[in-house]
Amino acid sequence: MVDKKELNLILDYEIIHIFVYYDFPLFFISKSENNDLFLNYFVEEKENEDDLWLHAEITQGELDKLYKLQIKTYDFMIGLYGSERLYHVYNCYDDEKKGYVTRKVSVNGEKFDLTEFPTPEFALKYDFETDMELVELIEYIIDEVDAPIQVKSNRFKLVFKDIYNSHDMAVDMLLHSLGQFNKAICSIASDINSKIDETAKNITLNMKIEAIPPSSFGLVLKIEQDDLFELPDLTLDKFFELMNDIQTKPESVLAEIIASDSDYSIRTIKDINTLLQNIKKTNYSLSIQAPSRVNEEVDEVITFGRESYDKLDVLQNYLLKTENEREIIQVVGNLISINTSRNYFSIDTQEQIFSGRMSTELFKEVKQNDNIKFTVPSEIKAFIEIEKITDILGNILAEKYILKEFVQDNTLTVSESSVLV
Amino acid sequence: MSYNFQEVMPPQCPPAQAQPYERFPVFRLCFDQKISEKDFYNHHELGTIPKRPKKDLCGYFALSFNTTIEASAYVRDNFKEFKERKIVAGKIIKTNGAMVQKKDHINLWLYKNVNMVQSFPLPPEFILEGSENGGQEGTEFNT
Repeated sequence: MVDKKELNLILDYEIIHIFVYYDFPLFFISKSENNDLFLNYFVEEKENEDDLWLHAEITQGELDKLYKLQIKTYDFMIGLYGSERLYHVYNCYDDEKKGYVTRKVSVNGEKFDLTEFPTPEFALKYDFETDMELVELIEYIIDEVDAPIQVKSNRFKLVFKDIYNSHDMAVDMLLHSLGQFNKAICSIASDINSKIDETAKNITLNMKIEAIPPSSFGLVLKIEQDDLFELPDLTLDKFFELMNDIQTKPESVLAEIIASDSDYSIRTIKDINTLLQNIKKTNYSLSIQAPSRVNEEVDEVITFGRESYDKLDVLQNYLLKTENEREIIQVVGNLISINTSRNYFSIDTQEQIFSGRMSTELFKEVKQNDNIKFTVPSEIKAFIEIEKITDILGNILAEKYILKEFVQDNTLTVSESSVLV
Repeated sequence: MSYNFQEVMPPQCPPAQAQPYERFPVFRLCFDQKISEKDFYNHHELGTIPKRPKKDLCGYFALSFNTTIEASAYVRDNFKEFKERKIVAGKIIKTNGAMVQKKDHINLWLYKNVNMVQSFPLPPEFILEGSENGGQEGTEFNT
């Protein structure tokens, strides 16, 4: 067995951002070969000449917030300590190994020393690695940046391809895959239906094979449409949307989308993961082609192929997270960002930044009522539902924030019954 | 003019954009208001290169200065290592070396045989508020 070299946490990762440089990088972000991100903050050279650093693994979303100055470094690092993610890393010379090695120790209550942290006022100004000046970015309303996918479900094509494009597929595999596809579609339909009617039961959508075209190995399917709410179309839209995210978004962004998107239930993610894991296991690709509802002459196509296989780790990791807890809190802060097309908000309360989506009801009201306006940036009072995703040990792995109601200008309220702001 | 430790510097070091300029005043975090040689040791001289992040090896042959007191106070106040350091005002002259400036930070590669302890202090006639002046005392600021 080949001895794997023990990595030095300070020396062996690629530096991607340097926020403070004085004779050497004092505060920097590094990246591992697996694209894991690490915060490194120099504390001091100890009397025995060991260097002491504060060190933590962070997410791309957290880095984005730091970089866009949406969170103060002090608050962020105290938060890392509070969630037991912050470590002391000693970089010391090892006589036996004839080189520097790192020793990582959790910063717990006894080890906590506020003098090792930046001051609360500490603000990032410049990235010495990219030569970028850091400025606070406020996202204003942007229309149709990611245009929603709208497809017809009455005749769409499903194409399976192996690496040889052999136009051949074992019947049991085909039936298995179709069964899993149908299950995933039904889960999405149930998610959508549960938002219209919370007491609704699981939905079953039937699919019918319309044709088997001669080229590739494809099937033309339709979802039988027998309801008044265009549920089959909306369901296929959501399926396309998630598949498109898997196909086009980097893993870090995909993880954020899945963790923050309240439109997909855990069951849906599980069913889609099962479908795609099977495609991956058999080394196939899956393409789905459906006519657009926006322009009938255009087909929307999404593909899950070899280049996206690794992204299933994101779904897999998400599914390791189990319990959900919900609570509603009232916050007063500054509305720093709102996007009514992509359903995104961000409120800064000084203590914390709450970023997430509007509830389905509020989002519908915003879409339907042109008189509802948000003022950005401006004070806002809001009711926010916090959904905590915890692992089996009860550790909080992610928090979703859902804007339920809000008041701006201390005058009018938008809640379940629509009122102008 | 050749640089201090040029024989062990990596190739293309200092970078092509490094040029000799005058800057006055500039600020450096020193161990004491009375500056000494160790205030101007680079990482090569200190022998600390092997344990510091592997980035821009060339930069470890340079010294950092700031063009504003605030920029020096920013480092001093936010990093425990520097909390006891003194912000000392001084000057960089063209014969000191070549520099690259990014925002309010300067990286200076010294020429051979430059004595910063003699060269750095402000001239006696230059008085900055709240400071002792001139000589080898340097000019300390408390922000």
